[in-house]
Amino acid sequence: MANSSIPSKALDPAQMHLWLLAVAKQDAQAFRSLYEVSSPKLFGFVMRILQQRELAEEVLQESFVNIWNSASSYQASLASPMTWMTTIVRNRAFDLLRKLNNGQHLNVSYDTDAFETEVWQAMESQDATPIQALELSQDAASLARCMSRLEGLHRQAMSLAYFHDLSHSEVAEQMQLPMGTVKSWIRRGLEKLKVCLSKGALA
Amino acid sequence: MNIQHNQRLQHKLAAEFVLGTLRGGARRRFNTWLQTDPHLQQIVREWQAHLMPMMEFSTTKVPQAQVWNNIEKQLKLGAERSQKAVFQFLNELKFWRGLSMVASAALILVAVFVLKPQDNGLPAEMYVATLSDEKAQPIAIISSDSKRRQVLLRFVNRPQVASNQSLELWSISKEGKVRSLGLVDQASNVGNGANTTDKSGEILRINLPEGVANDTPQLLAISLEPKGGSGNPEKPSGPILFKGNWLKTV
Repeated sequence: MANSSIPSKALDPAQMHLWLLAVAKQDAQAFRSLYEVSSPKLFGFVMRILQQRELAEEVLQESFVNIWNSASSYQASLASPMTWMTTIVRNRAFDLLRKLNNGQHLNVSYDTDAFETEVWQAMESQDATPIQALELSQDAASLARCMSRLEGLHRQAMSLAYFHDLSHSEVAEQMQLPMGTVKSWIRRGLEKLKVCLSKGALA
Repeated sequence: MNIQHNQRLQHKLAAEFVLGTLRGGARRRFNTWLQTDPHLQQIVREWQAHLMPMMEFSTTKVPQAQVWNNIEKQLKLGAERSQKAVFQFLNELKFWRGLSMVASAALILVAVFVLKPQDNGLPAEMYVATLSDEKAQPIAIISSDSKRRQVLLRFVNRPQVASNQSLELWSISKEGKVRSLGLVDQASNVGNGANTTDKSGEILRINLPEGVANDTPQLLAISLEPKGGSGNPEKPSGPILFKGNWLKTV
């Protein structure tokens, strides 16, 4: 594969954990390192939610100010660094999304992300290499493995809710399906994920 | 509805709470339980750990450099960092003053051996320093050449520096006064006097600035700076990478 020589950009949770502990002690250099390593992933995520560069950059900026200010509460959260930061970024992005939507300012398209399509294609392929080439963290790779076992439409319903802050009825509207159907797909999808992910943890 | 003894319901609600599909009154009630129920908090954490990595299924995009600049400005990190660097620097000075001389003594012998003065015979007073990194790995050896108001620097392990960065040498006097002795990149020029390398390119001759004599420094240190140096001859702007006591040989 042409890009096999590029060093892995997968995020190293142990290193990020150390940086966050240092950030809690106001270490500006650790903060910079943390930003450099995590911001492309987080920014791609916010861009998918808001779909406008200016808004996404505003949210990323506010989120990192928040990360700096609340890093001292990180350890108590018992979460992995990326989960903790993702929760902060996602909440901020959804807050802005709701504010703008109430004023009808934002038109978001719900097309599947090109990279997500690659993830599902890689999961379906028999070859082990493509999924590694995606450079997912271990947690994301486990989630992808478990989600790939769900029906494509069930997966899509969960993805719409996760990335676009849609309720059951909004997901149903997007997918042009009855709300009851979508509701039970999401519920069953989450149950299956729980079983699959806890199996993975035991393995 | 009592969810306290219903594990399956707790997981169902926590999952939809994290995913975002738990809405309205149901979400508010769940939030109220969550505030006071550590067990429920744990279940929510589990679901966050399960579902948040879904964010990685998005195309990676690098934000503009301006975003970081704004963060730095908003949190006043630039000022804080350089203040902190100087503070640490002076704090460490106390530590280095008290450091045992035993380890240094062995290295002085090395220094004298490596940095033979070009003139015949040893100068009357000779000072040496071994600059080490935080793991006590020696990086550079420096000795005085009192006849020429110069110090000589030779790298033991040449540090790798990015093309947009420079290394700057600093003198810290007994009184804690900080003065730049110039850049110590290979064949670089700085300030009033050009620091020069010898024919082999291995020993760097550094002209001492006005007000700094051979016996002025207590400590020598090298900081990592933007290309061209700190810009302030009395204060490094970047982190101190290497340092060592300036010792008079007997």
